Amino acid sequence: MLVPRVVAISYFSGRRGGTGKSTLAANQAIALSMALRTNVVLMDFGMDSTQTSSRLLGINPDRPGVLDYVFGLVKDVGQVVVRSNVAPSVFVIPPGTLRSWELWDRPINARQVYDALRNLLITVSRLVNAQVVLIDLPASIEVTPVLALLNSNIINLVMDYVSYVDVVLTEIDNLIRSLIQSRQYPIVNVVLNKWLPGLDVVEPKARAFAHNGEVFVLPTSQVVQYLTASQKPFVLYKPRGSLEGFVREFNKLNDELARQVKALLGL
Amino acid sequence: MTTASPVSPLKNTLVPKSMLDRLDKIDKDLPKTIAKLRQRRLDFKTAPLVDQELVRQWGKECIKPLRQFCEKVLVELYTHYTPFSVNNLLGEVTKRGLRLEIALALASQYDPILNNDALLRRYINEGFVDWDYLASVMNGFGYRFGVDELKSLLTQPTGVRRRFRLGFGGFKK
Repeated sequence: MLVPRVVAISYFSGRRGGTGKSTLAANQAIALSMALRTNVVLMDFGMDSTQTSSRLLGINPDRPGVLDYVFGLVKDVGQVVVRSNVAPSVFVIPPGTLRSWELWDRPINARQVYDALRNLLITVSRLVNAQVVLIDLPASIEVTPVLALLNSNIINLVMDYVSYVDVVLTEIDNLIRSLIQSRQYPIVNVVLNKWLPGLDVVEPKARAFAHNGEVFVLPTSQVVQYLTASQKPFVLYKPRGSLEGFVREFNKLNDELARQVKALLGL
Repeated sequence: MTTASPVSPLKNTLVPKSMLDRLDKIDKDLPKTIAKLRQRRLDFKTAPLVDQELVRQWGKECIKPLRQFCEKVLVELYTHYTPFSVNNLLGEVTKRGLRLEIALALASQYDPILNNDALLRRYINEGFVDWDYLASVMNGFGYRFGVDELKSLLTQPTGVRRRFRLGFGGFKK
């Protein structure tokens, strides 16, 4: 019947932290918004004071957000979404005021979390006319963030470029399979981040885990690292030094994501 | 008895100097590069979500007194649902010789969170219409139709209807 005009894209790395999910998600929110000429929402799950993607998009994360809505502390979606201060076509839902240890004894089951996330996704997309919602997941496999994967049409697995990447990807693939079960399998892209010259080639190993998706390799860039550390999205800057090569590969990822979104929306 | 040659087990793990040179070259002038970083001029304009031509064409299928209502609902539908799924729904309605006005009124009440499409499905599959409900929906859009008035308006023949082609291709004259 009627299919909501929104595509949800998750950034996930299992338990591995520091792979670049938040940097990519925040910058992709801006880049995809420009490529598709649509509003984009970034849902930041960076719990426990990480909040990198919210900060990159110019949002003070000390405000109600995803977890407050999911756990019923805030009922109105309008109170958790805020326009980015660096890109007016990007909206942000910060992680919220709850910390992960405060979720452990909450009387809420997985079904309720799943439904709340789905409601949030659909309602926020209608509220701000966004066709794309990016979900920046934490380096955790706790129930709440992981259930966001079930609401995703596209999953970007962001991995460090390491020789044993297939071992990590196997773990994550098993997790996703056990979650998805008989549901429609999402598109899965693998992003191998922080490539350095001279490393063993691992793309062929990663290809087996990209379901209906692609494998992308992004080089190490200290300029990107510098800009992220100083809370500035790299897409806002003219490429110089190592940022040039990084942006070239990032644009390939962005073009492919834009193509996948258009295909899912039937555009 | 021969002894093993004293080869360091670390020998094979050493990184060749040429490789270290390549690594050194990445951002070798980082402070200089950072000092020269300048912001780009970016265009954050968004495109309209709704194809007005599509709305106008489908709207023509509605009777005149309800055309404005139809166009209003069509804009809502194309804004919030994929154009493909909207076209499929409208194509199905016209293919079965059903009234677009009724289908649009029922579709306007659809909530994807509740997935409450039972009445819409029933209309498409069985042609069933709950006229009281329909009149209340129309009232919600500011139309003051009585049930009988609405029934007579939407059950009279509409004359020769144009044939539709599904998808974005539009319409055949």
